[in-house]
Amino acid sequence: MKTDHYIDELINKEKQTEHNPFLATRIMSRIENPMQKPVKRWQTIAVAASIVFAIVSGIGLGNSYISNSDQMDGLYVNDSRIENFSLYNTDSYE
Amino acid sequence: MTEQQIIQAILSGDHSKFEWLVEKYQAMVFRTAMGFVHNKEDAEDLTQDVFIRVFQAFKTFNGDAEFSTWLYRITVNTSINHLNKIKNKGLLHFAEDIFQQLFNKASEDQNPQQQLEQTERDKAIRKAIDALPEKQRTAFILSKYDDLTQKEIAAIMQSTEGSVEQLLQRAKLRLQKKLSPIVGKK
Repeated sequence: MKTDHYIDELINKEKQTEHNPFLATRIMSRIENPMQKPVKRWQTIAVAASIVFAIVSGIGLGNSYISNSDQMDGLYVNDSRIENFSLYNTDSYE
Repeated sequence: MTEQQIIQAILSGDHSKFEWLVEKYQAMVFRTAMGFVHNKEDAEDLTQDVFIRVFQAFKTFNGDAEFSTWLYRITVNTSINHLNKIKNKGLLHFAEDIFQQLFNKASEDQNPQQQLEQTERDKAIRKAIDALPEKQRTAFILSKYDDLTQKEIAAIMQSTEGSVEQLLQRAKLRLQKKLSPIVGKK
């Protein structure tokens, strides 16, 4: 039967999945240090999601900053009103 | 040293021998856990939990049953408890499914449409196995993933061979009924 074949195919695929070669070491480490709790999968996902959120927020903030800086700003300086610093550097001043 | 001697040594307080049992049975526990959770990381987490429980409850092992039978019982109970706990975390599993699909290594000899069909088919089969009633699912997983005989399954489930046979037949019929319209036509 086609259905049986597909079920067996999936089961064989899952059966062939190899566990981490250090699994026994991790188990023994947890037994020897009972206070050490394993990192659960949802914790990893939560951390990854926070990092993604931080990156996306950063990009969003960055984009909003660029979009607001389109207007032309200028600085008008009247040269005649600038104090002439060269006066203080001349030998005659001393 | 035989397994019986190692178990006796652990029972007498020599905990260093426990690693031998872990090395011997980790693949078996991992395979059974895979049958329940269909996911490598979760199966590894479950394998760790199972051996910690075994270590903590070792003194209660009285040797009436084979050690492997006792270990299978703990594995099945831990897996079922884990599934009951995460039952309400639908959103998390939806996110996991998406991550898995994104990072699944594509088979080189399949075109994208075939890959998509296979992914959908696998998903439907996993869902159908997960939807089996608890006893049918346990018997099915022990039979298919661990290739155990009906006698061995009966010993683990503390049941009779006849009832295990019935559970397996019902599970098979249920899966065919559920999957034939989806999987059979493709």
